[in-house]
Amino acid sequence: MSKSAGRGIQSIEVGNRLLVALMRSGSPMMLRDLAQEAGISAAQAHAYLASFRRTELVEQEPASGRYILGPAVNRLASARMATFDPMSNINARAPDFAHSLGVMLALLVWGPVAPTVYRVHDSSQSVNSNLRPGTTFNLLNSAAGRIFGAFDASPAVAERLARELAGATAKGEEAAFDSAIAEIRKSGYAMMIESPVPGLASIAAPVLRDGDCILVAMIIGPRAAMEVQGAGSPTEALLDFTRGA
Amino acid sequence: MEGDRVAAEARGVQSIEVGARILEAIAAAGDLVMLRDIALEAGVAPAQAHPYLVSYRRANLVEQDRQSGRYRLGPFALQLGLARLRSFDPLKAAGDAAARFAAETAMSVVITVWGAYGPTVVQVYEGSDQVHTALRPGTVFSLTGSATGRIFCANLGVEIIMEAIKAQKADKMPSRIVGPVSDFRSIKADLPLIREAGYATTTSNPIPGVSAMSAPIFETGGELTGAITVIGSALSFDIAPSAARVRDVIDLAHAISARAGYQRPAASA
Repeated sequence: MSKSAGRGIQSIEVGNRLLVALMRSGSPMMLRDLAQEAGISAAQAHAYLASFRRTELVEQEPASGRYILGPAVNRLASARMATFDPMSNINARAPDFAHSLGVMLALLVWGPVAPTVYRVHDSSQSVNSNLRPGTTFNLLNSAAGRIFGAFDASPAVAERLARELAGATAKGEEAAFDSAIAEIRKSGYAMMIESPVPGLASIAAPVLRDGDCILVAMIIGPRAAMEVQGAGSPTEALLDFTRGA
Repeated sequence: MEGDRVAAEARGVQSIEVGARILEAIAAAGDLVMLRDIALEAGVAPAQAHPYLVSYRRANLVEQDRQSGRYRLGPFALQLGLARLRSFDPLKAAGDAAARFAAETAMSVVITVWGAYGPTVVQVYEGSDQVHTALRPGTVFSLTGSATGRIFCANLGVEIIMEAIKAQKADKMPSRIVGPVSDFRSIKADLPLIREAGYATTTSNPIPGVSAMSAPIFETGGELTGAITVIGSALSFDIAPSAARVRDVIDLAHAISARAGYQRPAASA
């Protein structure tokens, strides 16, 4: 049975277009722009948004009157994560894993525009990094970003990479990235020293299913501890964690 | 035009609201769920729910398990959540709520986050009640000797807390820490109670004549964003568990966490 088989509901599909417009926009949106994106009149859009606001799928900024997605979408996202394996499996094991290494663990997926943190488990004693759900990373210079570069073949990743390279100032950035990616595909992980801040290092590895990069796990800790290699090292533990999903 | 809008606002779009109930019903199931059970939870007939699911599946907001025919939320649900996280700043939301509370109650409110030296004040909203706290951004609270500190002790990992208490005790400039610092043992027994109650209080300690109540605020996944602490004169701030003001502060903290998308475990609801 095809996905679109059966009779749908016209106004739900219009509503979905409003949600897509809000998701794509990086900032709060005006009624006029939302209406235009969804292909409806401003008066119609207003009625839809009144109902979206009542159900908390959308909220309106009191000062500007602009619209953003509301807290109900977090409930829906949490439910998605809780019912979609291997994501649910990784989420369930994440606190113990972070605790066993004494590191900060961030779980990321490809978000609306970039690799995006969706959960943070901090078992470190000293890491002070401003990581929170919603934090985004770039592809070129983060361990998690490089994993997406190596293992996520979706057009969104390629587009983002082209944009980042176009904005890169250092010479030879593309060649350096390509050789790093080739290495990461072989080893299955990415390590960045002095990242995200000096004194720290981060290691990231993917959770793959049928060739798709479902999520990326990234651990962050003091550089000296993270650089250790071999049996029992943070790298080995991370690969055990992601491959066990 | 304006008249149209007012009418539209009042009317809304009925199916958007029914649809939201269906999505919340799928979310509440916590597992793959049958059409019949979705409909029951959402309060509609199964035949009525089906076309909604057709439209949600087209947008990947819902997906259907091939083998069982059951439903769960789809990848677009996660993307919506991520977009919300990107444009939502929990500390700004906490600050806005704290400022309103301070204006309404005349009490002082501070927002504290975990920093290199322990619970660190990042925002201060002075009430008009003339209580002098000398708290300002950068002020660090004692982990054991303040209501705010005990909120962090109750909601962060034991290792992190024990390490931080040790560092506070060894601090070369103890005067920069508000409140006395004692052993972890001195508060350990209280922590489950503080977690259960969802707040901590103190009177005249560390600041004489001042009562304070602190409550945790959480991110969507249960990560601790920080604490919100309300401060008032010990004479007027009733911190008895049954006091109306105590309930107000708990509600304030819950409302901030809810805006971040945090769902409290059912047991403590």
